[in-house]
Amino acid sequence: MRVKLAVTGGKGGTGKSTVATNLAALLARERRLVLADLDVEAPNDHILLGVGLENEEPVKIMLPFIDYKKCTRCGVCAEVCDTGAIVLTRDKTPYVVPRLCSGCRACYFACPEKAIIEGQRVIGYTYHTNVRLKTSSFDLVTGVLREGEEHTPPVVLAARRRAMKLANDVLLVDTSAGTASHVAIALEGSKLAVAVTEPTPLGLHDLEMILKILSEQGIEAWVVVNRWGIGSSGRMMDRLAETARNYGAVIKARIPYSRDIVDSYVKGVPIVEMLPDHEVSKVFYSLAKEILETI
Amino acid sequence: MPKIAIASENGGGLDDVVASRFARAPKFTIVELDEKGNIVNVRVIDNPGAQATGGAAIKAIQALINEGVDLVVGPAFGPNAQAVLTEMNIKSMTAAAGTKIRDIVEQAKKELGLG
Ligand SMILES: Nc1ncnc2c1ncn2[C@@H]1O[C@H](COP(=O)(O)OP(=O)(O)O)[C@@H](O)[C@H]1O
Ligand code: SF4
Ligand code: SF4
Ligand SMILES: [Mg+2]
Repeated sequence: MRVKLAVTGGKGGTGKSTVATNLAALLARERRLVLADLDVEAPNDHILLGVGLENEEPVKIMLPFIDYKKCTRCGVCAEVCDTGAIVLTRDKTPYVVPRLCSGCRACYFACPEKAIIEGQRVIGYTYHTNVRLKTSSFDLVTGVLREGEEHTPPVVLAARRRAMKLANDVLLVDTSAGTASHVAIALEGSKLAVAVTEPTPLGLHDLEMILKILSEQGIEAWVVVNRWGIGSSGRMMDRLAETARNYGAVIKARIPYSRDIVDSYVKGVPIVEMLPDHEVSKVFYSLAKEILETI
Repeated sequence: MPKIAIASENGGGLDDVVASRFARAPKFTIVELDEKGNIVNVRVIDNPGAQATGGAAIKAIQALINEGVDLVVGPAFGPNAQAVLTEMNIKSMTAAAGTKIRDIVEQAKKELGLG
């Protein structure tokens, strides 16, 4: 992989995947590209691109099993477990709650009787799909956290690893919303991150949070203001620009609110492919061009 | 003797009310009943889950397992908490946050088939 780029930003529904898939479609015209959907709790790049999830691989983490014949009910395993995944009955018989277990193995190493056996548990999947659009093609890697699971990082890591193995030119990652540790894992090593936000007070707040993370990681940030529309004020734009400036970032583009974006989502075709002359498509062209000039 | 633990909003005791969150309740009021359902003892214990950074519900339940309670009362129980309670053979009962704990004891007796 020669260069890693990221699309990130505020809450779910801000437009990260819309930006990521359109940029992917354009960048792939010039470069060999892998798009990684690391929003493993709600991945949707494949929907925007109208493709399925293929080549499934499970993501497994360690799950302890207790050999009750060897266990002396000392309680050490529960003491060392950070996540509270081991509960002791009144006579100190340990019981593992799989959903809470992060697979850290602390209990396994700590058990003085070697009564803990290493098992495995599937917490998610990664997929690899070849995306063929009219004007470009690229690889899409998607991470999916299993329903009801809480340990996101291993799935993000597995999808990231799979994407990095495939990428020998440009890797573009689409992260989940917010600033959780797994978002930082997704962003790690990026040369440039596009931070998508909305011209609202909440958008302003979220922008500040993500720009903080990016500056901490030393990642250059470009801000894209999405859903610009009736009711959006110049004053809000000034405030977004000021926040960006405080973190050494710049506002690179403004995408209007458009029904055609929703339509392209429903059709599963990026708007740059569906309506190449649309004003929104033009915003993506100039953004993609500037990215290509930078990398 | 049957023992009930009620997630308590403030300092605990029969005059306190049900907490708004089970795992983060500051105290548990432990009520011991005799076989007829009369209250024989009321104690208050700290909830180790209240200050925990992670796994609060499980830490709370661990303390209640150690107390040997038969019935746990809280405003709601998450899937993890429910799974552990079931596995440990502890009954659970939900009660609206803010309900007087004294009134809960009456309902709890029915839940346990007493009095
Ligand atoms: N500028 C816009 N105008 C109208 N709808 C938009 C715009 N940007 C995104 N959307 C719609 O909002 C929804 C969420 O967008 P998406 O890109 O999936 O957000 P995220 O990845 O941040 O969760 C989609 O239905 C998308 O079509
Ligand atoms: S540490 Fe080992 S021996 Fe001790 S309670 Fe846990 S499983 Fe049993
Ligand atoms: S592997 Fe780690 S998280 Fe899982 S039960 Fe053991 S100590 Fe707890
Ligand atoms: Mg998305």
